[in-house]
Amino acid sequence: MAGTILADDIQHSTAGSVGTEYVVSGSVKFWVNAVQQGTTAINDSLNISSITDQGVGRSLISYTNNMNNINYCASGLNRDGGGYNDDFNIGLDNGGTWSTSALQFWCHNNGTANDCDNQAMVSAVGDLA
Amino acid sequence: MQTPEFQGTHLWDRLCWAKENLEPHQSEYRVVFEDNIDECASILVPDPNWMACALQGGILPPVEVYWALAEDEAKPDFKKHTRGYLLHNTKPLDAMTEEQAIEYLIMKDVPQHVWRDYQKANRPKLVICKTNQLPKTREWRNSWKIDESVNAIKEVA
Repeated sequence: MAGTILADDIQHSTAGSVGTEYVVSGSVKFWVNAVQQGTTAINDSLNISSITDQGVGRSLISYTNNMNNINYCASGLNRDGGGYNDDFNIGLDNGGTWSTSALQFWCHNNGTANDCDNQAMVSAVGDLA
Repeated sequence: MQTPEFQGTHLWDRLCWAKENLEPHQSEYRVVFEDNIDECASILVPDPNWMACALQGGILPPVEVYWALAEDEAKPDFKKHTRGYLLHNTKPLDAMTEEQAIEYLIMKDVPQHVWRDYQKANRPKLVICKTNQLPKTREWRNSWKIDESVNAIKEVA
């Protein structure tokens, strides 16, 4: 591929160097910013092929490049509510889809499934297949 | 823009190239399907960056690659993928039409038992539609089902 730079280390002029494997391993491998209200849609993303609206507050995201195993680390944020202490969360139950190709998440409000009013955001770090 | 020769390039690198160089395409198509009779209908929404890759061509691997990885993952002793190279080394697909991309996405992201024999079912389990054909609000969202009067084959064709 044109424009490729092959390097094992990146060196700063004064702050030392870091192996490029740390950069590769530490990079976010997928991320998505989606809306659940109205007609579910993806605002922006990387390495996502689709989002599936599975009901109130429940979505499934599928990846274009599979993760290598199911021990990757995902995180999410639910942008909703009008106050700093509103109890809006995003989570995944033990029975939900969690595979190298997809992840299911729930948005909820005070323990009740609830369509995220604004933006549901999910990302993950880990190894790619 | 011409897609670089990507066969052998890591798929994730291709996606990063696409993110940098291609305009996202928000498709109006939606795929409504019923995975479980006890649950409400699901609605698959294509990712705009993924759709840009499909329309561009030369980026995405054949869908069979994903099936091979899914078979590996379904094995009881699965720990990690050992055939990830299939994603990167298999010849990428040429440019698709939007309709072809939706068919590809169904075969990639919708459970196989839903689409493989859908025309043999007693009622439609999968329908491709446009966003303006979906309910305008999410009222009773957890009760949504595919209308049994829909002629799935006619609608999909």
